[in-house]
Formats: sequence, structure tokens, C-alpha cells
Amino acid sequence: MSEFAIRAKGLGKQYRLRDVGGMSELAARVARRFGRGKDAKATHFWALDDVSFDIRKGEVVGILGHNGAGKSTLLKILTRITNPTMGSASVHGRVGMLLEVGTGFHEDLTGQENVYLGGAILGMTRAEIHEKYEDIVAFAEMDGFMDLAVRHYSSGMKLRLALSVAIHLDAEVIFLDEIWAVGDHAFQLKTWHRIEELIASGRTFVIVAHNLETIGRLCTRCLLLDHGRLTMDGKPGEVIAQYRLELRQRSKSQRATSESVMLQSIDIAGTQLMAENLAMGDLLDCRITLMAQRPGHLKMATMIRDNWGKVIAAGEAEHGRWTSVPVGAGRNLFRCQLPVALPAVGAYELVVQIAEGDAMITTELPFTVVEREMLVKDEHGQDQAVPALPMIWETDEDAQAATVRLVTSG
Amino acid sequence: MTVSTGYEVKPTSLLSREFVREIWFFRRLIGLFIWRDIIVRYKNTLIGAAWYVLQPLAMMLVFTVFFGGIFARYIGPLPYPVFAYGGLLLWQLFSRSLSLGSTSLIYFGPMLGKVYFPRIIAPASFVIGTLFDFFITSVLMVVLMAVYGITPKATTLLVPFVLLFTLMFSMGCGSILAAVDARYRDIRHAVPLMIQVWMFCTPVMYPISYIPEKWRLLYSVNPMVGLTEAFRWMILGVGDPPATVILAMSAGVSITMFVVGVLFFQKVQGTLVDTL
Repeated sequence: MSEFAIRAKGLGKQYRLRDVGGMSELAARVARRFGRGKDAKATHFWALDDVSFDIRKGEVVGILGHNGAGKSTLLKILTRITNPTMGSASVHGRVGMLLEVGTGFHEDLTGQENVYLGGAILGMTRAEIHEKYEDIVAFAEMDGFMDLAVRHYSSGMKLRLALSVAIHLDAEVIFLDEIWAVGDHAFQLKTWHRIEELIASGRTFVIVAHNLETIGRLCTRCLLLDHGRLTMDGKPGEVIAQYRLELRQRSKSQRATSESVMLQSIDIAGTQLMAENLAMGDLLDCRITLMAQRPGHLKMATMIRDNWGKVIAAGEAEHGRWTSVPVGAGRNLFRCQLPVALPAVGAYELVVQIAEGDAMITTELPFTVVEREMLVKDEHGQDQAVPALPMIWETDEDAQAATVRLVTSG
Repeated sequence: MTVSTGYEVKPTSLLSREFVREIWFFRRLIGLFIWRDIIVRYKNTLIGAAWYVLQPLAMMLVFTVFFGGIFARYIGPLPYPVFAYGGLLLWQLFSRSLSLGSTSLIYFGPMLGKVYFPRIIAPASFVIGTLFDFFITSVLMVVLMAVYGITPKATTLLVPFVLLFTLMFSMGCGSILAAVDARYRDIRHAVPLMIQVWMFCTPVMYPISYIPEKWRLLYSVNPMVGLTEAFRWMILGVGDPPATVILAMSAGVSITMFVVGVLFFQKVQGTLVDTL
């Protein structure tokens, strides 16, 4: 028995750009056959291009990528919904899936009938499905609704039931595509725990999600897709960091369109962190150079985001988050300092926000918190590494003077 | 007890050992779809099954009234209503299975994009499901024969072969039509028209003897010709059995169409979802 759950080799998928059918397509094909048609590049594009990887049993693999990078296409190919244009893959084990925000249910059948349908698709016998049936209904919180035709369900109900089926039926390899919007908060927590249980029992997962924290917490490995190519394959932390870097670069080229006259008149000429590797207790020292065409006032704020993009701290000004700063025509230099008081080592970023009214532009400065440690002897005389904090000793002059007076006078 | 399975993903999927294993793996699904198809057709209806009998019955009445006189001399001692209904009975099996088979992918549409099962199951389950309708409509045939005092011949036992060839033929045609329709939507509009014309090219309301001899062979390329004549003769037994060459042609064309249709479908099915 193979140790691999999924092996993919050179997968490629080509799609047409234009709609099919009709005289124009037929005419185009005939033209191409005679060597006169438009180049294929104009009418086709590669949603996936030479994607190869191996996934071992028990791995929880997250697939990351921008919209249109090919994540859903990859899952569709691995689950045989559609064939690749080239390359091949093999999947070992029973497969369960929940793809896109749809269900694969048949509308005219009741919930109960659809559960059995889902199981039959998986290759389960009626007896096997029957065993799990109550669990499925309970998890989906659909007690009492199972005799109703699915077409009468709300979209939330359909999704909960579909998710419940996908998770409970006996699958060894499970594909989940963007299922994280299903259900209320309590339901999502339930789903999370159930997935963790399944992971612990050795099932293989392939997950697509945009919520980086989900990916970071659940996955043992990440694949990064960019315009159909596999650009990175490795530890979640690293891949997520790379993904976020790419996101940043992408958004840099889409500079904020602000209706603010003042904001339009400025240009961030440079940003710099005086040090990019910092330890606890250090000071984040950030310099910003703004070129402005006319004088005015701007509001500034800062915040710190962790590796997954979650905001974990914000700079505090006199009244709330924003400080109002005067900006003169020409060159303006600003300096901002924040103490590094962050929960753990790792990659973070300082986000500087410049606003006027509702409009805002941001700039991000990544930095890393490293551990600065010192060796200290513990009670057994053994060396122990502990975090080092900067310490400043000074003579307290006033108190010193007062003590001297006391001594000399009395 | 779950048995570990697996599969290969490849650009084109033609018939192979895998195919047979896969169909076996999904066998329960075929039964489920057939059952589901039947249930859905009867749900929310008042007289449910009766609708299936009404159509051939009405057609038979119309034919009898308007054409009974014209064709009566070609069919000898057989009462026209029985003759016509016999033809309609088999015709309905063919036309429904062809029609449902060719639109099966549309019916399954959204599901195909979300879950995997061998796509051939879609037309197959519909085609097989029409047998159920056939049995319901055959009830009236029994009634008619009783009314006219005709006893069924022993050759009626051969009827399953006719049904088999009919379904093979409609499966083959339906598979091709369904696959092509995914790309060129014209098909779904063309099929009803095609079926209507086809009926007139089949000896449903007239016997094959109505067709001049010199055209008969060409006419019989349509397998429904031989099959309809065979069907009627097996049950009613009036006149000569259909010519062997015609029967052979019917069987041959049916089988060929079945094989070609299924192979074509299998070749194309992998990327159906892209254009559906």
C-alpha cells in the first residue's frame, strides 16, 4: 500500500477564454485548421501549468494563491470533476469533497435521500451510511428537516448538510474548497474541531482557504500557486509569509485611489525601519519621507500585524489612534517609534496609515522579532537561556542629594 | 467495512479495465439514480403513473380516427387500434429513452461540477429507467388485447431482446447527443424535432408493407423499423415475421451505435464540465 495519498505530475489545464458553441467558434476552428486563425494564446489560457507534488497520507495541505491562481481548478482535477489537459495524478483512498459554495445535492430529493446519495457516490453501502446518518443530521443541526426536499432548504442549511456529509462519510482523502463561510460562529468552531479530530485520526486533507490563520493553524504543509504555477511548497509559516509578500506587492501597484485632495498631493518617497530584526524591549524606529505639493494636515496611525495578517497591536495617540500632523509643501520627514512588546518571535509588519477624512493610504514595513537571550544559572547551577531585556541603570540624582543632606546635617 | 480505493487522473479517458471496475464501484449509484428519477416524476402529481399511459393512448385514438381507414388494408385481420398501440408502445420506450438520455447531463448539471461519478451513469440511468414507464404503458396493451380478444403468442417471450436492442440503440444515440449538446446547445432543440420526424420514418402507425419494395432495405437502416415490426409480430403474430436481413440490420446498427456512442462519450466526458 502506497504511503502517498496524492501524487501529481506535470498537471496542466487549458481553458478557453471565450464562450463555446455557435458559428463564430466553428468558424475560428476551421480557420485555425487552415493555418489562418488567431493564435491559440489569444483564445486560451493555462489555468494550471506544470504542477507537480506528492502528498503523503496524513498530511494536511493548504493551497494558497491569489484569485484565479488555479486553486479550485487543481481541486477539480484531483477529484476528477474535470480532466487535465496534460500531466497525470493518482489518488489513493476514498475521496470526500466539498467544492465551491455548492453542494452536489439533487434538489428534488429530500435531505435524507441526498445523504444516501452522497454516500453512494463515495461507494458506501446503505448499511455504512445508516451507521453515520444520525451523526450527520445532528452535526448539521438539521433534525426534523430531513424529510423535506432540498430545494426548500435555505442556502445555509444546504451547506451545513453538505459539509456534514463530506466530513462524516468514510473518506480517507478529503478536499475542502472555501468552506469556511458555512454556518454561524458556533458551527464553524464545531467544524474546526471535527476537522482536527479527523486529522488526528490520520486522514489526508487538501484545503483551500483565504483565511490565513486557518491555513496556518491546521496545515502541515502549504502549496503556493501563482497564475497556474506552483511557486512554493513548504512549511505553512514560510509559504504564508511569501504569499503575503506577493499580496503586498500586488496591492502596491494598485495605489489607493483617494478622493482626498491632500492625499493625492503627497507621495511616500521612502519608508525605512532603522532596524529590521528586533528583540523584546527594543524600539521600532520608523522614518517616513513624504513629498507634498501643498501644505495641510494629515492624520497618521500605526498598527502591528502578525504573520497571518491579523492585527495584534495598535499605536496609541493622545486621543485614540490618530495623530494629526502638519504637512508642509515639499519634503517632510516623520519619525515614529513603538516599543516591541509582542507575544512571540516571528515575522510581523508595521502598518503605517495616512488618512484624511475617509480616504487612506497605507504602507507596510515588515520586521522580525528575534529572541535575544542570556544565559543565567538556575538553582542547580545549570545554564538556562532566558529572554534578555534592555536594562538601564542610572544614578537617581535627586534622591542621592537628599540623602547626602540628611547625613551631613544630622 | 471500507475498502481502500484509488484512481488515476489523466487527460483523456477511454475504455479500459478501470472503466469496468469503476462502474462496479458505483453500481449502487445507478440504482439510486433510476429510483430517484422515477420517484421525482411521480412526486407531486395526482394521477402519477396514468400520465404515461395517456400519451400513447391519445396518439392511438388520433391515429385510429384519422389514419385507421388508410392503413387498414395493409394490416389484414388485425384491428387497427391494437396495431397502432403496439407500435406506439415500443416507440414510446425509444423516444423517451433517447430524449431523456440526450438531456441527462443538463438534468445533472450542477451536480457534475461538485461531485464525481462516471458521467456515463447519467444517460444510462435515464435510459434504463424508461423500462419502468414501458411496463406501465404495457398494461393498456394487455387490456386492449383482451378487449379485442387477441391472445398473445408464445414468441412474446422474445420481446426482452427487442427491448434490449432498442435501449442499446437509444443509449448510443443519446450518449452522443448528450456529449455534443454540452458544447453546442442546438442539440437539445433539435432532438424533439428529430424524434417527431423519426416516428414517421418508423412503422408505428403503418406496417412496413406500406413502404414500396425497392425502398424497404434503405428504409430499414433505421433499426426501429426492424425492432418495431419484430415487437408487434412477437406479441400479435399476424402475418409474416420481419425479413431476416432486416432483423440482422436492426441488431447490427443497434449494437454498433451503442459501442460508438459509449466510446465517444467516454472520450469526451472528462472535460464536459468545462462547457456545461
